Amino acid sequence: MSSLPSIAQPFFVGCCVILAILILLVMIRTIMGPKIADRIMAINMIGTLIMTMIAVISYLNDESYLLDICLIYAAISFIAVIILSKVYTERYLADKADEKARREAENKKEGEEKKS
Amino acid sequence: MIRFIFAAAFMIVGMVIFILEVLGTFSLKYVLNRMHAAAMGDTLGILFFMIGLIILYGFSLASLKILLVIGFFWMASPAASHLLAQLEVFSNTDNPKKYATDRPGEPDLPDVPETSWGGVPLEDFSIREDVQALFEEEERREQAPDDEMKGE
Repeated sequence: MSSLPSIAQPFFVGCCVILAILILLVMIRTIMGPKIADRIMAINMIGTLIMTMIAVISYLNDESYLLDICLIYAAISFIAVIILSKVYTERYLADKADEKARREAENKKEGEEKKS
Repeated sequence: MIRFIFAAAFMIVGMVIFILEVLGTFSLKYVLNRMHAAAMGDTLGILFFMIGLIILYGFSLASLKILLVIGFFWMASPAASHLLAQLEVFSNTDNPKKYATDRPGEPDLPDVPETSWGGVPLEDFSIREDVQALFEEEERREQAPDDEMKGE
């Protein structure tokens, strides 16, 4: 940290500020997102930006153990995205199957009415 | 000093890629297109930014940790994007052809038959049958509780 020029600290703080603004913008996308995939994607992006921020802060404060937190954050963000995608995919497939079964039942009933 | 300039150059490139990622998320119209922009930031942006940090840290344990972060992200991000795209393709009910192609002159993809989603027939998803079997078993148990009591 000692051999760095005097611009270094403002540069890192500026990086953190830009990342914070980007996180706010992505949060707007999370709220606006018309589809569920939009929201999950935005959550993933927020995780990436926060990880970058943690890495910058770890260098700024000269505390390299924050990088472990960075790694754990990456793992948890990945698991969240995987689980949300899986759960919603299963839900949509189940809805689709229910609808198909209902339509088939209606068709059968209509056919029986026509026969009688 | 020279080391800081190199690292700052890498970090500025990473930052530009992050900004492009967010702009792309707002300017593109459809989820799968937006996902392209997001995946760019997840892989390329984090690579450049972390390379800058590695240059700053020098040869140390912290650099190894940052390399681990890059490696983990390069493996995890495509998997997450794949599952997310699968969710989008499965749940797209209004216009299944939207993700096929919209370039003029190119033939459209063949129509997806009504019984399948993205070419995978619904019957192939065995978890649905498992859930159904569980429900049926529960119903049977609820309908005939006396028989179980007699059996015991």
